[in-house]
Amino acid sequence: MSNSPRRELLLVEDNPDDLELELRALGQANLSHRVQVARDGAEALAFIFGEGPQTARNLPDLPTIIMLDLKLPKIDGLEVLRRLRADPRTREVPVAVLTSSKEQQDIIESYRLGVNSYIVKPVDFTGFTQTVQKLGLYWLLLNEPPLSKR
Amino acid sequence: MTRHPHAQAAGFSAVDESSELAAARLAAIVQSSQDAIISKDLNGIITSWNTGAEKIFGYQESEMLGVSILKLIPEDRWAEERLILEKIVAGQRVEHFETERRAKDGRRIHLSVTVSPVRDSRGRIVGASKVARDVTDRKTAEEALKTSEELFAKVFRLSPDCVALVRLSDRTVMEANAAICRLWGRTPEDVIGKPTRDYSTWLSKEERMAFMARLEADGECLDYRTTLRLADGRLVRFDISSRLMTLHGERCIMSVMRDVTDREEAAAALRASELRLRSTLDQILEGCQIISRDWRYLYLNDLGAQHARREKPFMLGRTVMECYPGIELTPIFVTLRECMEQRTSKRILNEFSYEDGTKSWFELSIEPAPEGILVLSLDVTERRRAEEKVLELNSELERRVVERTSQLEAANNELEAFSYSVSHDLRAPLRAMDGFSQAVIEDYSPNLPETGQRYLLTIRKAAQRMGVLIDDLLTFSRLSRLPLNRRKIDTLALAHLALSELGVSLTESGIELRFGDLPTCEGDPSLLQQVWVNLLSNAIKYSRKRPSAMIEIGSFRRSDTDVFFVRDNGTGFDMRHADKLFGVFQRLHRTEDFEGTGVGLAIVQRVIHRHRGEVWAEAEENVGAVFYFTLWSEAAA
Repeated sequence: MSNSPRRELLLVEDNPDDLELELRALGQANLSHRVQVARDGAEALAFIFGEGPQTARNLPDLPTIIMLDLKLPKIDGLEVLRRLRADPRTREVPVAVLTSSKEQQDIIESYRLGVNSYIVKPVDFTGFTQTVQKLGLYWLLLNEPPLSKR
Repeated sequence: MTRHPHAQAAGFSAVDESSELAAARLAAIVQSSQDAIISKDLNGIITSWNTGAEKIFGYQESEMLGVSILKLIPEDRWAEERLILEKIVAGQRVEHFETERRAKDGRRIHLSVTVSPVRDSRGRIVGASKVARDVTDRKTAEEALKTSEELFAKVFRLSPDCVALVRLSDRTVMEANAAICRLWGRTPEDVIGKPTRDYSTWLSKEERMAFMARLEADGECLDYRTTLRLADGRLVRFDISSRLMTLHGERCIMSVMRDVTDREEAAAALRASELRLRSTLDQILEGCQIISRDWRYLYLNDLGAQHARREKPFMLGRTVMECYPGIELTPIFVTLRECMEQRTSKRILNEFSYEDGTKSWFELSIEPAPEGILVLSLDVTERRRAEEKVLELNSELERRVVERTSQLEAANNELEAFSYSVSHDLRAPLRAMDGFSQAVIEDYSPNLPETGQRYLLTIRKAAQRMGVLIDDLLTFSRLSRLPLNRRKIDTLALAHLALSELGVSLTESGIELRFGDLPTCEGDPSLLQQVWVNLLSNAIKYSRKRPSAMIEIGSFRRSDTDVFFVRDNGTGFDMRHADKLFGVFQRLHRTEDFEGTGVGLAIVQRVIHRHRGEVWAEAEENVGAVFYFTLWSEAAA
């Protein structure tokens, strides 16, 4: 562990209300210092790949988990997922879709593109808070990622 | 033997001068006679031979003197000579004895022979003098006459025409052939000697008189056509040819009559048939043209002329090319010529352009005819227009269907986008309402009066209820859009599956469950599971408050269809409101009493209707409710 904590959880969320509630939940779980926020798909891709996504540099600071909303401005969540899975350097980064959509087409397409988890945001706050906290804790603390990319 | 036995035979004396003259005269007569005058002795040896004999028999005198008369007689008649000689010896004459002799060239000659005895000066019979006349020509003529008579008799008898010979004076039948006897229905024996009026009479006396007058004046009256009445009353048309003649000194009428009734009837029938055919052609609903081999119009019916848009008199006798200059270059003429030359039939649809630029469609039947070709034309312009109109309408309809379909597709896409947006975007504000209300409660509850806290809880409840409403609406809309996936389903297993989905509430309520007979059904498993879930959850919900709640699941047979039902002994409802039961957001109970969005039964109805089944309910307030449904199946349809 380095002194300045790595931004291990990339939260891609455009809705400020959802974002605040998510950050509140993660804060209650003492995870807020490990979260990097991106407000749309383009910003998420810029964070992952640097300013020029096409440059073939090494990517040492890949997040441990990406929580991805699907409905995003500029570049939507499925497109972000597609690009991550298309690049050999980011192919294995865990991605959890966190969305309001219960639509089968979204669920099917996400899994087809190689999502690691698909979570529907509950309307009820208690459930929502618990879901976000469990998700963060699970991926950051319980899940064991391969070491090759570290 | 003397050289002139005839002179002696004639009894002239040679010593008498006048006798000598007489003998010379006699010899001259004998020599110049056309008859053969031959003398022979009693042994049949020829002693004199005149020029007539030379001419008739072809032998010269020198050839025949001293030769037996038998040389002239055919072997089959040698017996005659013996008889003749016997008569001569007896001093008798043989007169005009007709017989045959043989000429030098082998011909048999018919002769009339007279033989007289020749006596010597003492009166003894010493020979015979024979005068023979050639009667071959006469004989031939007689035979010809006989043959001809026989022939005519035959013709008379056998002629298919009626022939009768009638005496003019009293019109008695003298001869009647088989044909006329047949006509009269009598035998010749019956009719001969009877008046003709017994068998056939003229219709008008005046006509008969006129006929007879003409006969008298001209001696004949040929091919006169009239009607005769027969004895049995039949009227027969005859062509009569009569001629006056004299027979056995009596004036007679020879009549040949030909029965032309049949021929006249046939001719009349032919005329009638032709007339009928012509009037048929005139009146048929098709145009008719007969075109000769040199392309002239021979016949046109009214419609044919109408189709040609020409006057009949103009067209008849004119050629097709004269009527339609330039037609030789058109495809229709090529077809006509093909039929004309190859004698084939054709049926074609042809658009004919008139001089004024208008066009008409014709269905043409072209048939070879003895005169050339027969063209039948049917004006199908109206039909073509109707067909074109139909085609136009069809394509218009198709275009509209495509348009409507694409509109529907667009609407469907919009609806999907809408649902997607609803599921995504409508939930987010609700989450914010719920989330921040909770955050206020959590973070600021010590500073918040109880009422304020209760208000925040109310906001949360409302937001959550709205979330459920949205979910139910999305489910409802998805059920209408998803394709129906029919298959055979174990209904009991499906009901159990639905119950296990509702498992929690069931154990909580302690409701008694009863299963009746549940036959297999056919339908979409996931949609029908939703039906069972909704019906069972309703049953549980409304019977939960009963002390001994009971739910019965079963089915029965109604006119080849299985009716499934879910019965409960719960709250029931007032049947007066049954019509609102299956409407979206329609509720018969207050939310405080029974939770719900009013979408559950609407979903049930939607799914059942998509299966082409029926759903209905029976209930009584505070007694219970039964929900029934059927599913359409191919076997029942």
